[in-house]
Amino acid sequence: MDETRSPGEGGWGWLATALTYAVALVISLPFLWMLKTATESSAASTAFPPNLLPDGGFFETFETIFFNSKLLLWLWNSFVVSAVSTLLALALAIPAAYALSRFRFWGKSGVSVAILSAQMMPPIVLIIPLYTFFIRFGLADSLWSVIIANAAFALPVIVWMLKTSFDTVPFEIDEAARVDGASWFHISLLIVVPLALPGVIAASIFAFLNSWDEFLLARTLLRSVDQWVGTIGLSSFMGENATPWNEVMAIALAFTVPPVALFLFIQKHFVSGLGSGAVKG
Amino acid sequence: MTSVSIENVVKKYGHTTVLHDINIRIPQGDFVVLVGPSGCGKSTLLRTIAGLEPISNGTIRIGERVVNGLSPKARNIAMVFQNYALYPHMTVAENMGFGLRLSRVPRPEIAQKVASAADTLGLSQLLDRYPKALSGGQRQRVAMGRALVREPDVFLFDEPLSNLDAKLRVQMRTEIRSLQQRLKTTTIYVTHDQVEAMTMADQIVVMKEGRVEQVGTPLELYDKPESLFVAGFIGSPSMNFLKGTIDSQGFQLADNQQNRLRLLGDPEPSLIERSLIYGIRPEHLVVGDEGIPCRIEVVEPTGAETMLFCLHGQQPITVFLHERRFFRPGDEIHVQARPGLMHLFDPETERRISTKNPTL
Amino acid sequence: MNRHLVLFLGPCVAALMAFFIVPVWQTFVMSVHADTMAPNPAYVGLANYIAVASDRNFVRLMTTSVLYTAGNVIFVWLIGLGIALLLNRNFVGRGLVRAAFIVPWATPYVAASLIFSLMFNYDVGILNYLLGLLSYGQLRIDYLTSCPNALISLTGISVWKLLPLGIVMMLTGLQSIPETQYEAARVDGATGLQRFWFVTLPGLRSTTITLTLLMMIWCFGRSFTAIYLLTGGGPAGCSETLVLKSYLQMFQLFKPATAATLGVGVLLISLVFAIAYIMVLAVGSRKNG
Ligand SMILES: Nc1ncnc2c1ncn2[C@@H]1O[C@H](COP(=O)(O)OP(=O)(O)O)[C@@H](O)[C@H]1O
Ligand SMILES: [Mg+2]
Repeated sequence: MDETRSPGEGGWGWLATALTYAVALVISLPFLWMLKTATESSAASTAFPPNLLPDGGFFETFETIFFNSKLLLWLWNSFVVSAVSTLLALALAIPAAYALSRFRFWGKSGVSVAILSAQMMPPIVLIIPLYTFFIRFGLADSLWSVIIANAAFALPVIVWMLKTSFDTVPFEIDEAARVDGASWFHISLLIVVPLALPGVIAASIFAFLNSWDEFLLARTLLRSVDQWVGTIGLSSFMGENATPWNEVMAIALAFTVPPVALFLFIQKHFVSGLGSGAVKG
Repeated sequence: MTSVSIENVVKKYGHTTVLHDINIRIPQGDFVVLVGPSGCGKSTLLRTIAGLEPISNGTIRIGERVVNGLSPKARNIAMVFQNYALYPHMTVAENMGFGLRLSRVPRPEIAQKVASAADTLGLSQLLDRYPKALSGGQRQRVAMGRALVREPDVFLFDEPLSNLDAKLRVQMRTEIRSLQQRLKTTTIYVTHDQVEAMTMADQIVVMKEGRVEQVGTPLELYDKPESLFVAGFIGSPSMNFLKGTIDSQGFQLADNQQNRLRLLGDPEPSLIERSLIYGIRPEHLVVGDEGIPCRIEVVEPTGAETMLFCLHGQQPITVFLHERRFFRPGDEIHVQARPGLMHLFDPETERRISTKNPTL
Repeated sequence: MNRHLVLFLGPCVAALMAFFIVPVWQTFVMSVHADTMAPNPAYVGLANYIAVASDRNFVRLMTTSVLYTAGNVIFVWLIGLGIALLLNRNFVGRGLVRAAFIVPWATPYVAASLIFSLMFNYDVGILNYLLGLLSYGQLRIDYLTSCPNALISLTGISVWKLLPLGIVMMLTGLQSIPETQYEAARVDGATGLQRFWFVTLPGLRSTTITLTLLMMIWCFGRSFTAIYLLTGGGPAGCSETLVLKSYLQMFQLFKPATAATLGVGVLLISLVFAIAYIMVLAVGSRKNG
């Protein structure tokens, strides 16, 4: 990593660095623009030419969105859906990933191929019948429908991510534990999960963010405003011209900060975990 | 204190047979070493005894109990792994007490047992450390401590010293041996190092390609190797093997009619003129005026002893002298066997040819 | 061990069955029955497939989907490689810059759609403002409500969202090329450009294949949220993808069989990508011994 690998750099390193900053700025522009609009007054948010810096309508805007809208409720719903579906998915995926990593059994490659292909499944194919399914079981318009479906959708990817990270724990540690009298249950929870913790965290974050970001299914299943998750609540401002842009962007910001913070917080784990889980598949 | 018996054990992975019909009886309290070249199935055999691998056929008994289908836990064994397999997220004390914790032994009792094992192994100062803060030798001790704490019927070791440096290895060798003699726990110890086997074992089991070649005490294997393989494997430096025939005056190399190696007494008639492999250990050769002529290629003086690597034509001959002698590469010498110490092997079957005349 | 296998793997396999295999089967079954929300629709064979394929907008639908996917693959690859090359060096503030490149990934798609709808705004959007500055007030672009523009803008949003994945994969790929290969090329007298051409690009081969496949599957099979929110497939259907159309057929026009037929189409095309990928992988591993 200390080596300079970009070919033909010569004495032009500073130029490359400057270019890097410029590109980073362009890529960040949408996020920065959201930040700027969210923190200005409603008059300023539709000014043309636009102000390049916020004018400080910050507190008023945030008071409005947190206390005079359903934002907090939607955020809470999103949190509940994401957290519960993540736990549910982990409960199914950890033992399965452990079995795929450790047990030798007939049909293992078949299961592996099935899990890998499930990762490639376009959600639309699943959503049409699932919609009918949830309606029939009276789960439509309930957070449970979204929780269950999100857990299931995350399953193939996180099983694979977990399996890859379990594979890095030496088998001899399991064997030592077996000799010590540990059951498979003990080994997976007391030995392998703690040792593969970065991978487990990465998988959890993946599942959490997937649910947080999910729109298609929630859109079809959640009808009443009080059941909406953040994505649906946010999308209700699209094309609706009554709410000023600064409030819309403040709401978008409030919804974006948790995943971005989570992401930056565990960037390293996530990037390497995702690299090994989703990519090597 | 428990005996272990392995009867007709076969282990297959798919279509490859890794262990062929293994039979070994290990009396209670014995220290048995499984030795053989890498890949010969030692670890596999040990792991079938531990219950980490199911066997394809045969019976394994620990004491009177057939343990074939039992889990490692139910077999009441303890195992020390080559790379120690310590739990990285647990302290030394937690590592050592983990097995007891799983069997729901009360905490004070665990603490007391861990403390006493730590005391035995000199780990008392390290109980709160994590494995990554330990040296290789200390980790090795923790792995042993983990085995010790559980007071098992049988200790199983899989090349526990091979990751240590040479000096520590020699020291740990003695320590493990004396510990075992104190505890008198039946022990099965796997190594590929024949010196380790010779210095530690009550009984050695020599394995080759998934088969038992020979079982015996270290001295039995040294004095009476049953096959070319065992003869070559046991003893350092390795035994010299020469092709030739025997007549009434001694052993004669196939390509050299004049010079002979002495025999003690008259050979049996059945051996005369038969094509043979003559084995003689380097330490059983002397340098003198008669015998087989050869040229010194390399001299290794180690102070008290002298090692000579010589060539007779294309035939390498190693000589090990328990004294300091001065030779130079290029010197022409004659080597002669000390009588009564040679071994004869059949070149076809590679088995030992036993002779009625013990002094031959 | 068998009991444990069932205990450990069983629930997960059951869930995969219930939420993947069964729905796929049901979608297929729906696609060969009559196009009605009424219970027990009649079996109609391939009629829905024929209807979808002979629709006069079918070619436009396919073209849009393919252009959207291809645009994503090409631009994520190109820009991802460029940025990865820039990032794969030591410079001040690398941590911060890397974080900036990760942010789009974590930004929820719905939030991103809102942000872009503001930035793309014809009257007050920053993009038209900047464009005006550059063209002395002459130029304004209709980003979302005119014809090739809508598709281009939506592709741009998707590239922005997926770029972090491209960068991360390209960085991993670059770092897996042994330094000694560059040194050997340097000793052989290769210029910077030649080293890029003969060492870097071949070294990125497998990364490129994986990235291309993932992009194809994700863009093609998931081309929904931003399109639905920003253009709804318009104007005049010129940004309508297969996935979006399938959704609209089901949930706005209540034509479940047409929706299912389109869904099966998406699945089959994704499957072709996946099989191509597996074949390329197999050939690659045979070549490398
Ligand atoms: N899980 C396995 N599957 C297939 N073959 C194996 C497996 N484990 C070991 N073997 C084979 O069994 C033989 C013996 O291995 P092992 O017992 O580890 O040898 P040793 O410990 O004597 O070096 C080797 O040839 C090895 O390749
Ligand atoms: Mg071994």
